[in-house]
Order: sequence, then C-alpha cells, then structure tokens
Amino acid sequence: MRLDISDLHVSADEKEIIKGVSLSVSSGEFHVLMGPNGSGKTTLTMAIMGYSKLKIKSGDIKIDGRSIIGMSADKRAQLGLFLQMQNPTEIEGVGLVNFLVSAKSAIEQNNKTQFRDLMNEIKQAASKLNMQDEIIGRSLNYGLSGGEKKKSEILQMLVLKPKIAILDEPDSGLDIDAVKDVANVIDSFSKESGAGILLITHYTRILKYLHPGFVHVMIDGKIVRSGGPELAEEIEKNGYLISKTY
Amino acid sequence: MQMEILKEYEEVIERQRELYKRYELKAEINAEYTEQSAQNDEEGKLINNIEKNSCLNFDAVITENKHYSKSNAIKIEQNQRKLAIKTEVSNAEDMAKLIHNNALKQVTIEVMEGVHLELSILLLSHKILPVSIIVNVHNNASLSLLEWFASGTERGSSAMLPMQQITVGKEARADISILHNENESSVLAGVSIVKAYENAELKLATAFVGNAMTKSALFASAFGKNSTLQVNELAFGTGSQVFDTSTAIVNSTEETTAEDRARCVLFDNAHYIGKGFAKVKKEATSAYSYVEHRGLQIGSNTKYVPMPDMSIDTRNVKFASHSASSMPIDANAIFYMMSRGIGEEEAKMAFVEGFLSKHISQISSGRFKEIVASALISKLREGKTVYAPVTSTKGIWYDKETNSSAAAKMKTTGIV
Repeated sequence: MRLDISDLHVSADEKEIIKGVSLSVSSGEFHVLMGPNGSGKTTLTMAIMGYSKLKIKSGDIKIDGRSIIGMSADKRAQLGLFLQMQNPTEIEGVGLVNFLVSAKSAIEQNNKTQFRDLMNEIKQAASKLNMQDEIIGRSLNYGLSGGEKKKSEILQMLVLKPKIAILDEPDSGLDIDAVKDVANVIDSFSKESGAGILLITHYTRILKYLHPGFVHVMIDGKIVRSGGPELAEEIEKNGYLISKTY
Repeated sequence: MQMEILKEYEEVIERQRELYKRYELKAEINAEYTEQSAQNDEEGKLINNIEKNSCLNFDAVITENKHYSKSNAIKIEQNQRKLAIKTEVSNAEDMAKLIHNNALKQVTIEVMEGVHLELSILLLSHKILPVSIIVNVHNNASLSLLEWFASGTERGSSAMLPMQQITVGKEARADISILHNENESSVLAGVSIVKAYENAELKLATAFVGNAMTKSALFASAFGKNSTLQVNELAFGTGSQVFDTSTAIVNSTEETTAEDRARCVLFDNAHYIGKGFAKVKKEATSAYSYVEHRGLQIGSNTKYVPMPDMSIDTRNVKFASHSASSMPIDANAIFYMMSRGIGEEEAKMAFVEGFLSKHISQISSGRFKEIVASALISKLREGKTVYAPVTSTKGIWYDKETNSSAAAKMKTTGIV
C-alpha cells in the first residue's frame, strides 16, 4: 500500500495550518516526522484520517493512486489506514473488547470475528505492552492515564493490523521503561507485518529503539527538510532552529 | 398503610410543591374493564413470545382477569370484577388515591427471614390494570426480582397503574429491576414507596421504555442505620413519548447512603421532565446523598428538563451533591470509532449503548442485566418499543465483581 500526500493545504476555522505538504509512505517503510509544538503535525495526521472539522483547501491525499479526499474516516480505515491519536477520546460505556470486535469485523468486512480468538489476541498484545489485564475490560480509554491510553492505542494497532499506521507521539506520557516496551512493539510490528509507519515525535528518545529509514522535519505547516536517521541526530544535537530553511 | 407512607412523601417534597406544580404533566386515564372486555385470544401467544425471546419462565403472570403464580413467595388476589375510570392524574397523591381505591389485583411477595430468592413477574394490561404490589424482604433475606410490565396487545392503548410498597428488613438485600415495556399507545401512572431498614441494601433499577405517557413517583427512604439505597432510572424516548418522573430519596438516620441516578435518551420529539429531590434529615449524621441527572438528546426537537434538588438538615454529612447535564452525541467519539473502520450509524449506536450501559451495570443479576439491555438495544435499533425483545449475548453490561465487560460476556457465552 502507498500513501501519497501532494502539496496539501489544510485549514481549521479559516486558519491555514498545513501550507503545502508533500510526503509518501509505502508498506515496509518507516518514516518519522518531527517538529516543534504547533508546527501542524497532528493536524496533518487528522487530515489524513478525514477529520471533518478540517478543510482541505488544495492538494491531494491518495492511497494506491486513488484520491481519498471526501472519503469518510471509516472507509479510510477499511482501506488499511490506522491513526494512533495524540489525545485518544474517552468513551464511557463502550468496552474495548466489544469495540475491537466491531472494528475488526468492519475492516475485514465479515461478521466472523470470534470473541474468544480476539480475546486471545488482545491478551497477547497486552502482554507485549506490559499492560494490566484489568484495563482490557474497561471502557474505551475511560479513566486511563495518558501512558495507558497510548498503550491502548498501540494494542488496537496490533489487533487491527493496518497496512499503514500513523502514530502521533506514541511516546508522550510514557516512562522510560514504557517507551522501550512501546518502541519494541512498534519495531516488531513494522518488521513482521510489513506495514508502513509514519511516526510523529518531538523527541529522539524513542528512536533509539527504532530503525527509521526516513526522517522529516515540519515547521510552520511545511516539511522543511527530509533525510535519513542522521537528521534525527542533528535535531537532537542542534534543535529545530537549524532546520529552518524558509 | 400505603396512603400513610405517602403522606411522609408529601411532607418531604412540601417545599418543592409549588415549583413541581409548574412541571406536572396531566395523564388522562379513560378505560373500562369487564371480564369480557379484557379477553384476549392472543394473550397466551404474547406471553409465550416474551418468555421465549427473553429465555425467562416467569414465576407469576398477572393480567386483569387472570393470574397465576408458580412460587410460594408470590400471592395474588383479585379485588374487583369490573371497573370504569375516566380521570386525569397530575401528582403522586392523585395516582395513589386512584390506585388505592380501584386496585384490581393485589400481589404480595414475601421473602422470609434467611431465604434467598430470584423471581420474575409479568404484568399485562389489556385495558386498565390498577395493581397493588407489596414486596417484603424480611431480615437477613435476599431477593433479586424482575418486574416486566407490558400491554396486553401490541398496539391497542391501555393503562398500567401500579402502586408498589417495598420494604427491606434488617441485614437484607433486594435487587429489583423494573422494565416498563408497554406499547407506545399506552399510559403508565405509578407510585412506589420504598424503605430500607438497618444495614439493609436496596437497589432499584427502573427502565421506562414504552408508553405514550409515563408518570412515575418514587419515595425511597434509607430508614435504618447504615442502610443503603441506590435508585437508577432510565427513560428512553422516541417519537412523541412523554415522561414525567418524580423521585424523592431520604436519608432518615445516621450513616445512611441514598443515591438517585437518572439517565435519559431522547430521540425525535420525546419529552422528559425529571424531578429528583434528596433530603437529609437532621438525624442523618454522616449521611451520603447523591442525585445525578444525565441526558442524551439526539435531535433538536427533544425536550429535557432535569430538576435535581437537595435539602440538608444536618451539618454533619459525609457527602451530598446533586448535578444535571445534557449532551448531544459526541462528534469526537464518533470520529474516533469511525477511524477504526466502524460506520457512522454503528458508531452512534455504540455511543448511545455506552450511555445506557451505566444504568444496566447497576443491575446485579447477570440474567436481568441481559434482559434489560436487550430491551433497550432492541428499541435503539428499531426506533420503537419492541414487544418481545430477543435477549442476545451482545450485551453492553459490566460484570460487577470485576468491573469488566469482557468478563461478563465470557460468563454469559460460557467461555469462563
């Protein structure tokens, strides 16, 4: 699968946030997008997923050559896109397990998802992430700490097996051990499934455990630099100011 | 006895009286019962359908001209042979007098000391069924009871007029689930008076699903020291259904807990007025008192009027709070679910189910949880009250012990 973003301009409440972003992610590739606060990284991820409060002013988003502008979020997910959200919504009363049964059935376009099999998958994923069992039975994200929410998002990714996963700050709110757990899981997932990954982060801490092939820097709504893993090291050393080329 | 207790209720809400008058809807009751008029050849089939679809075998079934009980704990008496009522009722006093003076049936459920029972009863109204229900759970006993109210026909209008008196003795436990699933042409006007004695625990979960007009008054007292009262009410309105409920909970003595949680889901032009009053008496030191009203309004023509209120007559309370809120469907929650591949309509259903699940999770009996959940989900999916909803294992409930929906599902499907 290939995700192509071409000269994308996106506004929120009449204010332009994304000012001409072009980026491609294919299955098997590992991209990292870095940038300071307010650079538009999360807006970009939400636009890719089809968040209705964002307006695409111009440009295109394509999956395997087909434009998905105007396509609803559920259809994008059914094509194989996954977004791990920066601030996952809490939904009281909607159990994680029932939710994943519905999601998996929708993505696989059948009603054959077996509860028992899925429970085993969920437990295995939780174990990899060092999550407590009792979290599995709770309402979706409800009452979870920031770190637990991030782990829950990654658990969903493991169960739903997307073709391209967009991970928005999976490391924020996690302690040092949890960062390692999450990073190892993401790394294994990307290698075993062949999925494409677009990982957004402020810090290089998580990148110590991952093997990105491409690093991009976003500032003020534009990608200003792209390179290999060495770019991340440069950012670590010199900060984002060195990347400003506008 | 019931009328005397009702006076206590009236005294408790005395200061609310003027305010409540402005928000009391009138229910018109115009129906006639004779043995012939209440004959229904389809009755047996309707009862069978409800039992089959809910996987229940009712311990007692009560209609205007018939009744039976399979349990020694349930006694049923017939009071009158014909009845004609044409009147309007506005408040608890009107309703109580009407039912007291015209009760066709008297149902008495006695759970003797030390005994533990799980019972279910079905009440069907073909034309008009004023019924007195007395539930006594004696000291150290426990009762799990499901009361299922339905109409005698799927479409014709009828009136259901229940008056309940529930007493939970010392150290006793009662978990009572009430499902009002009458058809949407009917009228419900009911009064309940509830008392929990020393160290007793009472949970009362009522789901108002059917009826064109629902009027309900509940007076619940945590009467004995260390007693606990949890009242949960849910109104689920579609079309032009109207609900007018009035609940008063009282902490009567020290170390008591009294909670009233009311949830409401409104579609189309449905209208809900919920009066929830909590009184903490002077003697009720270290009391815990809580009133919460939550509404989910789907559609701009719904009307939701929650009226939580509180009167605290002692300085020494453990906790006392009341709140009300209303919300539409959370667009961010819908987007989140859609981002996982779930379609928009399915996501909205899941959201509403999640809202309902809080009510359902309060029911202790797993079996009754499933039944009430299925009645609610059936209405959600069909957009109207379903006469004999099919109980399915796609419940939205929680297993109380583990606070886990997964555990509950596994228990029900036999995985664990």
